[in-house]
Amino acid sequence: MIETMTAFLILIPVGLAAFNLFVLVSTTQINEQLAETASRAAATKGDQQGALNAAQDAVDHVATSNVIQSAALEQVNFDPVAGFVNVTTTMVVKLPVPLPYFSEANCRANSIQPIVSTPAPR
Amino acid sequence: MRKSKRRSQRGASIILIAALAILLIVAVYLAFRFSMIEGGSNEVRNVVDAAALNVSKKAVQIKVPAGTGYQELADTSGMVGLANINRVWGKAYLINANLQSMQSTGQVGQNASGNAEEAYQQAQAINDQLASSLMNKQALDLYFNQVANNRAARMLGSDATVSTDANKSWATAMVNRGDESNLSLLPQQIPPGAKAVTVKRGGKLFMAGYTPFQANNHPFTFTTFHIGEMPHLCGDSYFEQNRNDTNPIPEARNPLPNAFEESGQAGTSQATVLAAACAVANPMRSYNLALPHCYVSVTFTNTAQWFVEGKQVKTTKYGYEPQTYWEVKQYPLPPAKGGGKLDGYASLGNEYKHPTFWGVFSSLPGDHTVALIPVLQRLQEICPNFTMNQLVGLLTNQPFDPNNQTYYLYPVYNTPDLVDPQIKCSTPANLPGWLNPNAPTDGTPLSVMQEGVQTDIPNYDWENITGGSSPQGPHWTKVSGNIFWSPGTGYNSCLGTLYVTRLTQCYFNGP
Repeated sequence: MIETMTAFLILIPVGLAAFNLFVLVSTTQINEQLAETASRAAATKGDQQGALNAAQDAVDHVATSNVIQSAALEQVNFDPVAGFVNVTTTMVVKLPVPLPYFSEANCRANSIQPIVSTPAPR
Repeated sequence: MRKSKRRSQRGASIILIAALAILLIVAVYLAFRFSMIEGGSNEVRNVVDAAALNVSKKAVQIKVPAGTGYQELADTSGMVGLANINRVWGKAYLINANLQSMQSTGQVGQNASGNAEEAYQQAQAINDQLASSLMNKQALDLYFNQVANNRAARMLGSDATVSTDANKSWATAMVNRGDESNLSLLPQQIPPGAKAVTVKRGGKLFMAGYTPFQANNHPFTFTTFHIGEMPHLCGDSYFEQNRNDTNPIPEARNPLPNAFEESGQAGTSQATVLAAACAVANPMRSYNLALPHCYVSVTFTNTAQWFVEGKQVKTTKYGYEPQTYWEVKQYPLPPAKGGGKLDGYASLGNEYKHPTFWGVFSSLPGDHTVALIPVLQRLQEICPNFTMNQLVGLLTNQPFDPNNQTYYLYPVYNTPDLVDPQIKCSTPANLPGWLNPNAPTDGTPLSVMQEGVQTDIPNYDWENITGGSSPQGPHWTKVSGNIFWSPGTGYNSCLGTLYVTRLTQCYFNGP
C-alpha cells in the first residue's frame, strides 16, 4: 500500500507535468508556424494595410479548442524601405492539467519575411 | 524467516518504483529534448526558407554596368541586372536579326556585319559579368544573412543562430525552361528573314526563356520570368532537375540563373541542424522588345535632266518649292531644224507645292504606303504598337519645310526607362540630344517603289528660239520618281533611310 501511494505521489505528478510540457511545446510550435504563415501572407502585399489584412486572415483561420483558447495578431510591421515584414502572433494556451496560479500560458512567436511584392527598381 | 522475506519484497518494490521514476523522468527529458530539436529544426527550416527567399528577391539588385551600346537600356542607376538583361539581349537580337534580314535582300553595307558582331559581343560581355556576379557567394550570403541573422532558432538554444555553410558555394538553376521571359513582342517587330522562339501567355507574345535560337549565326538565350509571379520557394527535386551543372541548356552561352539554393545550419554544443531551400527570382517587371533611341530618316533629292533634240545637254539639281530654272541657254539648233539658238526654261519643284510631308511624299502617282512598309517595320522595332495609319497621320501632320530635305522619325519618352515611346517627326533643327543625324545607315539602298511617270505635270517647261525659222518647237517634261530603302541594323541608332528621288526630264526641240 505504501509503495503504491509512493508510486502515485511520484509518478502521477511527473506524468501530468510531462503532459503539460508536451502541450506547451506543441502549441509553441503551432504558434511559430502561425507567425510564419501570417508573415508569408503579409510579405506578398504592397502596403501596411494589405499586410495587416493578410496576416489577420491567416490568424483568423486558426481553429481554437479547449487547449488553444485564442490566437491573435500582436503586430505587423511592414517596412518597404528595409524590404521586410515582421509579424508577431500570440496564442493563449490552457494547460490540460491546471496548476495553482498557472492554468494558462501565453505563447508569443515572431517571424520576419522579405517583402516579395515589390518590383525591381526601374 | 517469514519476516525476512517480507522485508525483502518491500525493498524490491521501492527500488522498482525508484527505477521507474528515474526512467520516466529520463524519458520525459528525452522527449522534451527531442521535441525541442524537432521544433528547432522547424525553426531552422523556416529561417532558411525566408533567407533563401530574400536571396531570390534581392538577386535582382545584383547589377553590372551597362557598358558601351546599351546605356539606354540600363536602369536609372545606369546598371543592368536580372530585371533588364532580357532588354539587352532583345536589342542585340534585333540588331542581328536586322543584319540577317539585310543579308537576305543583299543590302549589307560595309560596316553592318561588324556592327552586329559588336552588338552581340557587348551583350555577351554584360551577360557574362552579370552571371559571374550572380554566382558570387559573398553577395548572396549577405542577402541570406540579412534574414538569417535576425531570426534565431530559439528552440535549439539561446545562442543558436542560422548561418550559411562557409565552405559551400551557392547552387543555381534555370527553372521554367521554355516558359515566358519578361520581354514581350509583336510578330511584326521581327524583320523579314529572321526568326525568334516565342511563347504566348495571357494573350501576349513573349520571347521564350532558356530556349536558345539563332540570329546571324549567334545563339540568343532569354531568362525565364513568369509574368505576374513573385519570388517564391520551389521544390528541391525540381531545382535539381534544372541545375545548369547537371542539366545544361544546349547551345546556350552562359545562361543566367533564375533560381538559387542555399543551406543554412544552426547548432549548439549539443546539436546541429541543417536545412536547405530553393527559391525562384522574379523582377516583376516586364518590357517590350524594342530598340530605344533609334530613328529612321527620309531624304528627298531632285534631279533635272535637260535634253535638246533628244540629246542630254545638262543635269542639274532643283529645290523643294516651285521655281523657274533657265538651264539651256542659247543652244545652237542645226540648220535642218531652222537654225537659231534655243533657250530652255522649266518650272520645277511643283511636286513640293503641298504644305505637308505626306502631300509632298505622295504627290506623284502610286501607292506610297508600299514604300513605307520597311519604314514601319523599323519603327515598330522602336515602338511595337505603331501602325501604318499612325505613320501616315504623323506625316500628314508634319509641315513640309522647303529648306529641309531630310526628316527624322524618332521616339520621345516620358519615363526614365524608355518604355513609353511615341514616334515624332521633325527636321534636323528640332532633334533630341541623343540623335546623331550624321550616323550613317549601314545598309545599301534598294528600290521599293517606282512612282508613276507624268507628262508636263506637275513640272513643265517652255522654250524660246531666237534667230530661227520659228520661236518655238515641241517641248515637254517627264516627271517620275523612285523610292529607295536603305536599311540599318540600328547599332549606331540609324535603322534606315528612305530616299525619295524625283527626276524631271525636260525635252526641247527645234520647230
